[in-house]
Amino acid sequence: MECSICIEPIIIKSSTQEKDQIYDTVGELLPCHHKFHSDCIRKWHSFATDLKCPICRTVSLSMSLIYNYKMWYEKRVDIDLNKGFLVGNIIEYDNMMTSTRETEPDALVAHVVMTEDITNESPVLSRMFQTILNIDDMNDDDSEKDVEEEEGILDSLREEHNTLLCRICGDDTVENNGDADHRCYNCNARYHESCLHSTASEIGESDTWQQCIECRSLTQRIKGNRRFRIVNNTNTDELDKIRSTKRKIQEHVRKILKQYYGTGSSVHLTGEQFTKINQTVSRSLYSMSRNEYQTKIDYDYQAKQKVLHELHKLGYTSV
Amino acid sequence: MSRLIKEYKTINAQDDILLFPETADNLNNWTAMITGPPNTPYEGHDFKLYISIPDAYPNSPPMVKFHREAMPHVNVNYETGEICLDILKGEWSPVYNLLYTVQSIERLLSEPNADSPLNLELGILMREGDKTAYDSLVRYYLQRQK
Repeated sequence: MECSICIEPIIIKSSTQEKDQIYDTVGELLPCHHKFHSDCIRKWHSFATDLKCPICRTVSLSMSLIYNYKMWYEKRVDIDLNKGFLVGNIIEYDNMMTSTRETEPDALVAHVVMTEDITNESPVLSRMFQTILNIDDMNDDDSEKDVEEEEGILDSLREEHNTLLCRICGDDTVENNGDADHRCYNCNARYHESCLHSTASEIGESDTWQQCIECRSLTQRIKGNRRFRIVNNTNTDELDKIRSTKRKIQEHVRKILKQYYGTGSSVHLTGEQFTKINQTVSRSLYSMSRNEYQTKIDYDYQAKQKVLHELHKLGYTSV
Repeated sequence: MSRLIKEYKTINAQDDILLFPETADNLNNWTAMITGPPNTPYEGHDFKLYISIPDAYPNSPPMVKFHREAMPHVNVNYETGEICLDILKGEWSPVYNLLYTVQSIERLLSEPNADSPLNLELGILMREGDKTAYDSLVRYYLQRQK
């Protein structure tokens, strides 16, 4: 058997005679049952924009990790794919948005009256995720402002991206068990201690229970667990602000785009094209605004320019 | 990088494919030659593709371009040679390889796609369904280059 991603063989146990052989950990996507090296498929998930199988494009609902140990024992552990694959994705997306922004035609951005250079601003989502990725570095820094900021970030992370969820059970809390506060220092996966224990005993290696199920590095309990107690804090100003900005910007874009949609318009957009233009333009305006509704930007004008630009790309040169 | 070496060996073993690294010690930049498919205005012409491999390959798709001002096609930006093809963007899968990519671009020559035009002039002709005009314009472009 060969892994289609790296074109290397997948070494699995074939008889009880084999000894001292290191076997690969296999990731089997369900429901399509296509198998890859678990490292290869998880890496792809951090690049992919969806959870479709690379071979057959069936949307994967979960993945079984199949371990092959020196013993006769083979145990499947189900992993919910939707949990925890977002971090890499978000950072990638943010980088992409930044580079798109930098290469945008000058004519489109020339009308923005901005006192600061927008390209110097680090992408907000990445910044949020960097914070979470470097969470223990922040433990040294206790200024009030930072704590407040972190609270918002954590709340929004938990709420919107599920990144703090345990990668084994996919939940954020277990009865009387608290938060998923075991963290892999290599890949930043989160786990419940009890989930690690039960997985390890299921696969017959209870002495290595502290290993991350994905990269096999050692996981550790996060010390100074303050940031997990603030989860129920109601301080979500940051998140509310971001959301309301998004909403306001989208209203502008829809208003402009509706003029080109439906009967009575010279342009015949499909629903899909409408959605895509809506997304592209909103994102572009959103990154231009740095997550804050800028009174200095004429959003209607900007939205119109960008919508027209997208329509031109589709071949509607006369609008 | 070991995956690229494997691909290189496979491609090298087949002699009917014109796909090769620009220099033997650097597998990050490749060139391919594709032949205009029969019964298309591209018949009788050869086209050069420039392929550059990102560090994240195969998790990121290869970047492929035609020579600038060489390919009149509705899905190719004539000035830059940039290609609009789903598998080079969002539909990329890590199980695809360089050979498949080049073959897909070859197929794009006989199956132009009106939904994502990068050449507006040709896009409008195609949208209006005027195949004769489309083909003639392509031929005119190709003729002019000679």
